[in-house]
Amino acid sequence: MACAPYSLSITELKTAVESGTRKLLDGGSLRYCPPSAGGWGIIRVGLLVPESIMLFVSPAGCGRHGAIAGLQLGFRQRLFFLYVDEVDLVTGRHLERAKEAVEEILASISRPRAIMICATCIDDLLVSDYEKLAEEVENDYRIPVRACHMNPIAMDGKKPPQLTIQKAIHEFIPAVKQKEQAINMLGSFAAINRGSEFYELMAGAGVSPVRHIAACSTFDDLCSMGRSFYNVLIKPGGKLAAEYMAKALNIPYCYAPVSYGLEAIAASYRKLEEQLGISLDTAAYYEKTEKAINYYRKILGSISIAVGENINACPFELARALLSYGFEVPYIFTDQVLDIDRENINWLAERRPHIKVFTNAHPSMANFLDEKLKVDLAIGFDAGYFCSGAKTAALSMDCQAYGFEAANSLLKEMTLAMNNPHSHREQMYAAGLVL
Amino acid sequence: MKGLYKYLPPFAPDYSGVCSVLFNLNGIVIIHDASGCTGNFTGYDEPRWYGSNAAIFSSGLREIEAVLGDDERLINRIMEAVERMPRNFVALLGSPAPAVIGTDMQALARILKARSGLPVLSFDTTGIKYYDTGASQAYLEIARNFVKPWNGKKQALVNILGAIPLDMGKGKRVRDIGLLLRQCGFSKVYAWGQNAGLKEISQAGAASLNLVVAYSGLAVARYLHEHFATPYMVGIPIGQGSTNQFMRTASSVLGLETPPRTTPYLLPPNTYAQALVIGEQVMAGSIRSFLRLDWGIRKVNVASFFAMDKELWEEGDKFLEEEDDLSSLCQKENYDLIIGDPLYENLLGANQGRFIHFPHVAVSSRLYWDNEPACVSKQLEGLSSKLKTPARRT
Repeated sequence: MACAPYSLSITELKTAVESGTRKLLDGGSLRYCPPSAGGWGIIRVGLLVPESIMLFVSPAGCGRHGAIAGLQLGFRQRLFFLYVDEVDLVTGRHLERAKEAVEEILASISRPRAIMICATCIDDLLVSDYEKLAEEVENDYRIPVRACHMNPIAMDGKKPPQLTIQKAIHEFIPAVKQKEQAINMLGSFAAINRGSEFYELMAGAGVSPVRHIAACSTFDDLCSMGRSFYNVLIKPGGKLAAEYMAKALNIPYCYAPVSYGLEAIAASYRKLEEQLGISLDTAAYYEKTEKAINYYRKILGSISIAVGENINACPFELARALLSYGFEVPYIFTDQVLDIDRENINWLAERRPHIKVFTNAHPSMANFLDEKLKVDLAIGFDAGYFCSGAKTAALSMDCQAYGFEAANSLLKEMTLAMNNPHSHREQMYAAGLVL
Repeated sequence: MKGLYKYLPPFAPDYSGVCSVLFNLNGIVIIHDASGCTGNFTGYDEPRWYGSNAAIFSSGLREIEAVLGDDERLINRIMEAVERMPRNFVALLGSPAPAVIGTDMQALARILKARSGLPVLSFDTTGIKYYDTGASQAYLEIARNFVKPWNGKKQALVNILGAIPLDMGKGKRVRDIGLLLRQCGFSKVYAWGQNAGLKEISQAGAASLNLVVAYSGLAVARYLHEHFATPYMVGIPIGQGSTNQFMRTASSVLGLETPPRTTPYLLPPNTYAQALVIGEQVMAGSIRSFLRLDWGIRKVNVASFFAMDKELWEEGDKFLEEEDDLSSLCQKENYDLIIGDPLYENLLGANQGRFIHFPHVAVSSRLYWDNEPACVSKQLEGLSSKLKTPARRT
């Protein structure tokens, strides 16, 4: 007999969060990995460094998902693997072998501008010094080299891999004393969509250019991020990168998150005004977006929506936004609760106390498809997987909406998904998600 | 350089092989890892994962547990799952991290067995070896633990061994083989790793024949031969000639006959002088038989990055230890026909002969798993139409 899937009501979650809970699934359970689990993965993020290559040093199995995703998405040719065997584990000789591998790779390709050397869980346990290895390789070949770590074993620590990789890719940027009236955007994997009003508002306030690593086509472009006077952190995953850049490159930062609710978007802009010492006239964009919400609300009707975790948003903020647009959100799928989610959880608990929150990872989710939850639309591949009859809007990390444009692009994507649905399985596998 | 891979992706690891064999057996399977290894299997090595309710989990290993050797937390997590979801057995698999800290999987299995009252299988997988090793161990373990003693008369039952998707695709090939075996007189066809559950596997001793369709099924076939005197045959019936031979041999086990047929060569003589098949040894050997019997190509070599058994080895075959070995082999031998996973093509020089794509899930994962060429029996739509025209060489 199948057991009921583990869930909390949003009210129960509110109470749990007040008593210090940060995850729905505590350390007392095995972890289920649904097909929809995963994201960009360490390799893909690491290779955001333009004109770079990556040497991945690990047992053969560790790099498989990243390599296949690389073949799917086109970055495999910049990725090299050095397999570690039992003798390496015992003797630690793989660090020496990594140097030989770099030599052989450099002899067979055009000279890269940067090299990333990636270690895995085993080197955490062996306390291998990849930072020293990077330094030695850099000295040998006069190419900037940095270490990074694909070590999910450190996921619950202070330096989880999804944060350290963002720090590592920004460590190539040299310190520059002379600053420009330019800003860097941190935390997202893609630069903010060109269609966002953000660029126009910033240019109007004299802040230009707006830089992001994914918009850098050369390594020199990446280095120019050191000239920016301020960093805007728009997603929590860039926190260590922002802290590092504040300390090492003297670029202060503020957190002005990607949001989908009108008030939250306006709050991010107000924070930017305060922190950057500028004035931004956002009233017209606010009004225009308010009208757009009404328009799409009429087109879509009073649909019910499940919100997942594997999306380009904080699930609780998105759920709040959707409710404020006039839609229903009966289910949320997420495991992690951040400090910044508290306010939204409280808001949701007050207005919709019966929202059910499932964790993607609890073992009982293996039987979840038997539940046959009914919603019209799922946002996120995970919500789409667990609500198998729903149409799915991916809201993926591959493009980055920001400001009022985020609300507009969300509604467009929802409408597209409702009117022109695609196979969930095909969409999901094409995305090259890596756990 | 040893261990340096510039073109090919890492192949499916040993823990994926174990999970694939156990997938349909209604057990609780735990990879003792931080979740990345489990994600390899669920996302990239198991085409059946989407929509399934298989209970395959990550232990959620974290640094502090690894450093302190806190196995009690793992045991408690597993016991929580055992109590929540009644299943047939528990399997505990290693990964690189427990290999480094020296986790004693067998001891953990003994403790879990005592606490849960369920059969508990353990596997010292490390992520260093490939799927074929893991699958081979898993087949042996389920035979040792679940096949019941049998002293009665043999039945018209055949076990297909090695039929995991990593080698055989999503199921069509195995179903096609099953149809042929039924035509040969077998009323029960149980494919381990596909349609056979533990109930079917428990009856394996009654089988009149075991059919090995991949290297991973060889060890268990020998085990069943040793313990139940069950004969086994190795190979996949591809093309007319092989299918005729296959059906004759399989039928003869039951004392039946199939009418003899002739096998015409469908290619003009000398269309191809020499060919190479790169892949899992049994599949590659079966394609070799097809090339010989149906197309008349005399020299056909098999090369594989995966384990190769002496029994199936022919002169000129090559075990590929490194990526460079394949490039060197092709340069040296100048094959005018090469068959293998599409990703191997990147390793070959521009002046190679015709390359025929024959995807292998253990190599190219989900890149091609929805497009596997049919190849069993006479249905050669995947191979034969492409083979008729030789490649033009510059």
